[in-house]
Amino acid sequence: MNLDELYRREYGKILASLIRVVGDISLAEDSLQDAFAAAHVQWPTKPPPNPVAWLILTARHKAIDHLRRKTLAEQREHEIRMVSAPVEEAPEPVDTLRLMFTCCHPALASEAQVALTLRTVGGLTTEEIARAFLVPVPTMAQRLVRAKTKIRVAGIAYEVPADDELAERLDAVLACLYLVFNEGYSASFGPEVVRGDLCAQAIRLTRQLVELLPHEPEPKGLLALMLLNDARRLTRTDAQGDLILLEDQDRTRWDRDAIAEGQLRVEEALATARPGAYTLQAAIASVHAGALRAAETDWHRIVLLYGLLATLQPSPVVELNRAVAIAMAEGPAAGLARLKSIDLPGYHLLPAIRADLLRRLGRFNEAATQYRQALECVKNDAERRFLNRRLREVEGKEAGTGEA
Amino acid sequence: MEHPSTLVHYALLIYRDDSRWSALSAEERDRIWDDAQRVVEEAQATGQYVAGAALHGPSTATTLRRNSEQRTVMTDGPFAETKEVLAGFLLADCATLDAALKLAARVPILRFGGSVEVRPVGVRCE
Repeated sequence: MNLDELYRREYGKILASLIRVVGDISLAEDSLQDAFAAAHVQWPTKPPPNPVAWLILTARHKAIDHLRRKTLAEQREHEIRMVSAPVEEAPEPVDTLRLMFTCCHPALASEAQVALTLRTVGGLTTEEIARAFLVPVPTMAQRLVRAKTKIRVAGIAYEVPADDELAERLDAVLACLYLVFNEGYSASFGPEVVRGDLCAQAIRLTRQLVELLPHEPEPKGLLALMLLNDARRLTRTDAQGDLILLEDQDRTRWDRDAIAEGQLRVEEALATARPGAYTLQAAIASVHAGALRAAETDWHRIVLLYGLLATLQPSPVVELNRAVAIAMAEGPAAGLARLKSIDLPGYHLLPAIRADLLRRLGRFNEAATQYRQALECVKNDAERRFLNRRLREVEGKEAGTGEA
Repeated sequence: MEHPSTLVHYALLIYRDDSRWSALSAEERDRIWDDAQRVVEEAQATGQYVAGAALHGPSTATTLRRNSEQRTVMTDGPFAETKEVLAGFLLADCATLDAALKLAARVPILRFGGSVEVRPVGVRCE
């Protein structure tokens, strides 16, 4: 295995172990970077029999070198800790879990959680994270330093939360990973900018979390949701970057392997007594992914799943999606009736969906008014072009009916 | 990080919403003080309690500052008038931030629009 590959696969895991041993994130990061740098120089001529064990041991020596440059008091505290910890051949998996919970502690702002998780567990560089989130490198560097300082000074524990707190703390970890995924997912719209492969990173980290917490259903649900969405990421826009609706997407280009894995995970997660919000959303995505043609979509099942989701997590956006599903299952008039009770000021999708249902009912005049309203709130360029296209279409029909 | 042997001091800075506070009845305020006393007693029992006090209102405050000529000037009242006023503090020894947050979550003024800011205490802090 080459060094880059080893770095990608093992950096976060080794770092997690090292943090436990040396008791400080920054010190562990510096030491591990030094160890990889040393490997870069020494391995081509003298490859070690066990590369991971070599990195762990070398990083520990580097940590001691760093400590020698510190004040006596700091040195002592860290040295006592290090001497008392046995040297491992391989990183302890539970350390990765500790690191995830520490990075996603609710006392840290969500943007700090995301940055720190990608930097430590994910092994991304500060530059890569800055580019992915469209912020200047110094801003991102400062965000990371501030988060690490808070963890150290405020005494955020390096531990997996106790059972009575696990559910709540796990929610924070899942929310952080989903944020990373969505950042990558929505970035593939709009102007083409290289933003790192955040979707792949989020999937990789969530897959790790599933392995670390095999009895928790929601990490499986989230992994499934990511896989099922990612499977059709590339078919959502055409060559011009214009939006292609789900019903018009080329389903032969969907990633069947990702869908199969996602569907398997959904089934596992649904087998629990009370499926969580990620699992339900994944189950909905699974219905879409399972339909080989748009017309074969089981909309009644989707209506049912949105109903469950609405009880678990009531929100106008969920109601909006439920109304769309009802329109598909029972006809546009039924969907339109559901929209009446939904209030989402400034959100372009509410008028856009209302416009679409009115269009399908042949009420082109009212549809045009709703498209114009949607265009006032839309932010994304691809979506704006789509809405303009539809507006011109109904305006044409409006004129047509007027003449006839 | 873990603090296996060393405990961190945390300051729990307790703020109250003054308009909400003045709208409370005497009985309600009495109950808040009793509840606060209970939190202190429990923190004493677990060994977390170091110090604590309630503060009289901002109208009783006197603030000192130096003016541009480096003369000390005195102002009647707090440095800045705010809706949320510092109403008291607790100094506690806790193993982790989570333990300090757990203690902070029990401060009764939280039920009446108040807030508790938890800060680690140090020497010559950055």
